[in-house]
Formats: sequence, C-alpha cells, structure tokens
Amino acid sequence: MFDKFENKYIVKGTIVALKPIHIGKGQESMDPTEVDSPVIKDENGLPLIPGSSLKGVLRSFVERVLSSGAFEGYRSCLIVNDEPCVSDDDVKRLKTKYDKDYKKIAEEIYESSCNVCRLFGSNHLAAKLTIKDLNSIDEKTFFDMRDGVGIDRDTGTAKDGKKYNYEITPSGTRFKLHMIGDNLDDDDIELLKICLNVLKNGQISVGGMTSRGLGTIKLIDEKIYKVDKSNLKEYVSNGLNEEMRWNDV
Amino acid sequence: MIKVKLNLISPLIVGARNLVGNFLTTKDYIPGDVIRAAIAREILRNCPLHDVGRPDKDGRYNWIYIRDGEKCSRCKYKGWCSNFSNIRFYNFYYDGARPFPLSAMKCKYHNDHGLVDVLFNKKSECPRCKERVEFATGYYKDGKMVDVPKRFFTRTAIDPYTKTARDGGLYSILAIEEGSTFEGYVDGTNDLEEFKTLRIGADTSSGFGKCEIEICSEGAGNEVDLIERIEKLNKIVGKRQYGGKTYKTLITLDFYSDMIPDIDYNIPLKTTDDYKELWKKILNLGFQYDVIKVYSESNLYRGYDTSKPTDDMREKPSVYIEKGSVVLIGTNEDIDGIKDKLYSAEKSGIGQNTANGYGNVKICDKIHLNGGN
Repeated sequence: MFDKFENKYIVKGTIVALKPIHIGKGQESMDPTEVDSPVIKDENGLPLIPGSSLKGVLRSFVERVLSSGAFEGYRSCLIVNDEPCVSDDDVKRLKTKYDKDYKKIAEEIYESSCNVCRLFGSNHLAAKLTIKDLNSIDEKTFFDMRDGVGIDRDTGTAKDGKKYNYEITPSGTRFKLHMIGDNLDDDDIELLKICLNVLKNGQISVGGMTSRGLGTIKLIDEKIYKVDKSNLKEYVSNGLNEEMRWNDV
Repeated sequence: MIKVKLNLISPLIVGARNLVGNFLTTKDYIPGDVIRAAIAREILRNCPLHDVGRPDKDGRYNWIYIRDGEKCSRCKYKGWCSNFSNIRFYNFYYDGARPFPLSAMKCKYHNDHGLVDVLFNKKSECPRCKERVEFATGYYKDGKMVDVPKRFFTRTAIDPYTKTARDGGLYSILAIEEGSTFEGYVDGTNDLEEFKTLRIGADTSSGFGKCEIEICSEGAGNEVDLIERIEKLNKIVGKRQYGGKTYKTLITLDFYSDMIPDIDYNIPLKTTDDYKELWKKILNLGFQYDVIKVYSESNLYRGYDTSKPTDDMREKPSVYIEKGSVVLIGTNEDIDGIKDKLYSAEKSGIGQNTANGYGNVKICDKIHLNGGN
C-alpha cells in the first residue's frame, strides 16, 4: 500500500555494456542516408536505455524464476498472457462489493496480487519498483553500424533484397542507474536482491538481437540506500548520505 | 472609469459547468463578479487582520472593509477596503469584442461578412455576398465574429492506496488558452496599479487563471456623446411610426452584459402587450415611453455567495436576460428632459447586481447607426 511511508530503497550505480546494445527507435528515419534501424538516443544524441527496457527484462526474468517452483512461497502470474493474478472482472466485482471503500478494494487487490505484480505493478496496482531512464554518462559515443543479410536456403547465397543494417551502441558504454523501491516488505526485498545480483553478475541482456550477441549489461559501483522512519526526517531535509547505506545484498 | 486589459499568462476557467458527465467547460467571458472576487481574495490574502473564521458585524465572511482605522491607514489597499462595495466591475470580453446583438443577423457562410441589423432593416441578406443570413450568438468585433481560443486538459484522480487511476476519476476541462487578452472596465477606483498580477476564476491553486493587469486609458462615453448618438439614430431611421403611433424619439438599448431584472416575476402574461408592459417595468427608466421591439433571451442564473456562513453558499436562482439583448423604445418627451435618466441608466446599469457587471446597457449603440457595418 502506498498511502503511508514505510521505507524506501534507492539503488544508484553504473550499468556498463559488456556487449553492444541495440534498442531500436521503433521508426524508420526519413533520411535515406540513415541506417534501417537506428538506436534510441536522448536529446543530446547520446544513447539511452529506457527504464521500461530494463524493468521489462528484470520482470520477465523474475517471473520465470518464480514460476520454476525453486522459490517456495512465492507466486508469479503471466500478466501479458491473459492470465493475470487480478483480472479486470475481479476488480469490477470488488468495486461492486465495497462500493467506494477504496482502502478495502486496494487491500483485496494487493492480497490477490502475485509477488511479481506487487513489486513490478499491474493495471490495478502501481509498481513498488521504479527504474528511471538510464542516460549515458560518457561525454561522447561513437555509434557503430552492422550489416545483416538473409541467406537463400536453396542456393546458400545472399537473398536478393534481404540486405539490412542496424545501429549499435558500442560495448563499454556506461549508463547511470537510478532504481527506487517504495514500501518494500521482506518478500519484495528478496526479489530486489535477485534483480541486483543478476545485474551485478552480468546475466541480463537488454534491447534487441540478444540471441545474436548483443545486449549484455553489468551493474558496477552500486550504492544502495535504505530510508525508513528512523532517518526519514534527515532524508527529506538533506537528501541521501553515507549513513543511509544498505549493504545487505 | 478605467479601461483594463487582462493578459492571460496561464489558461483560464471561469464558471465551469458540467456539459455531459465528466466534461467541464468554461464561460467564454469573465463576469465582473469574478474580477471582484479575485481582487477581494488578493486583498484578504495580504491582510494581517483578516481572520477566516470571524464574520463582520452583519455576519458576512470574507468581506472587505476597514477593520482597524489606525492600522489600516498604513495599508496600500485602504482605498479599496473603504470603498469596495461601490466599485463597479464590468464584464471582460475577449480581445475587446462585444456580445453579438440579438437584433442582428450574420452571413450563414462567412463569419467576416459583417452583420445585418434587422431592427430597422427588413432586408435579410448578407451585405457582401447576398447569401442567406442567420441569427447568432457569440462575440463581434470590427465586422466579424470572434472566437475565444480554448483547449483541453484531461486529468485523473489517483487512488492513494494503489497509486493507479481512480475509477470514475477521469475528467476533461475545456479552458481558455493562455496568451489571450480580455478587456473591460472598472469604475470607482484609480488604484489598480496595486495589482500587477491576479489569479482569476477556478482551479487557481493548480495553475489556472494567472493574468497580468494592464491599465489602458480612461474610457466610456460622456453626456454629449449620448445625445449625438440619439440624434443620429433618429435621423437615420426617419419615419418613427409603430403600432399606429408616431414617436418623437426612438431609443435603442443594447445589453452588453447579462441583466437580472429587479421585478416580481409572478405575473400572468398572455399577450405581446403584456410582455411589453413587463419590459417597461424591467427597464424602469423613469419617464414616459413605449416598448416597441424586444430581441431577447432569458435563462436561469445561480451563483455563489462566499460571504455566507453556511456550507451551502449557493444563491437563490433568478431569471436573467442574456447579454446581446436589444430593446427599442419610443418616447414623445424632449431629449433634454430625459437625458439625465438615460445617462444614469448607461452609467449605473439596469436591474440588480449592477456593481458586478450585470445590466450594462449602451444607448443607441453605433451598431444600429449604420446597420452594423
């Protein structure tokens, strides 16, 4: 629940690209000299990993891990496959049952939600975990371009008209990570730890063409802070300081 | 009387009404009482002696008056507080336009083809393209209809527990765009320089209604001007015969703002003559005259009175005559004998609540002097 402050976990660090990254802009440029598939860039022309790219990868990773049954007591749903833990019909029923008792409705939604939806959010419950867009901290980036071609299965040669190219953010590019967890309970913290560990171990890939060698990233130089009732006054007055560091991961 | 411009720095919502469901729209002009309320709020906000919970001696809350003779004598708003109820705030209209006169028709196909005043003119065709004409509402300036620019804002309420959009919490506001300018008059004070900016209308705490005040010049007509207008109108009309009577002088009254009649409505009405008699009572000009023609629409009005102590601050609903209404009267009295009364009507307004912009009337408006063009 979000109506009261319980705690806040803030993760700051650097994401470094172990392999080149391709997060496409999603539209072709009008410029005929530009590549077929350019990467998304910020207003300064530097590469950018949208928060949604990283959050989506982490969410689907956690969903798969929890669905395996290896973590006892944790629930996971497949929210994009029409099998959500809390459906639209469930919420309609709750709204009819409790009328305008919004707190009661929210409590029932929270109770019915799986661990993944509680942390990463759903249509009916906001996410506890927030990931900001990851801007590059490098001063300049030299984007690379790769060519690809489709191979004719009969002749084994290049198929006519199947030549394409795409832009990549080179490996070694560094991005600034800012991740926030609000009102996390013990279960949420365990999931946050999983996310941070796989990031630190370089087990996560973002963007497109990850099966073709791209996208592996790693978290380095991370600093994790925990704000709770004991240091909330200090946090809202002066911001984060070293005494708020949390080293439990 | 000072002519004042309000330059909108942020979008404006005035007298928002629910059109359908969750759709709110603004009025397209700023009533005088909204300006008065904005100035009153600014004065009270800066008044160290104002106690929200304490009424004045007549039980009115949020009232502007001299609270302490000695302390108030050092305040820059003392001129306002000593005279606030006597200051008249006129309605403010977009870009200095006027309400489209209900006695006029406009080209059906072109908004900029001027108008045909059918008060004296039986021809009903566009003066420029000779096409069909129609009655209209809205605003008119320099020979064309004026549109007030508006834009949408869509918002939603957030459930504090789930931080998602609250069910049924989505609503849209159609507000007047920032950058627009409204013009009007304030009568009875010269101290408007005290206010550089104001927050006007609704939702001022969430970014709406901020405007700059620009003082233009002394405005409005004088007595000589009024008599010239009457003489010019009668010269143009020529024949002054209506209903078998010949009148010495014809006079038109154009309502530049809504008017709340100061009469008892509980009168059975049957014939046109009954309505004309009712209009004589409404106008109450104080001399002998007949009501010849009336182009008018009426509506129900209900505002809020923030000086009331209860939670329900709504005023009693009352009938009001809509702005743009036009009345033609005929009299056999000498102009010299009635000019003071006509001047007084133009200066003070007709009906109730004239201090807040209601009942603003223009006698023999120039729109009738040349067919509107």
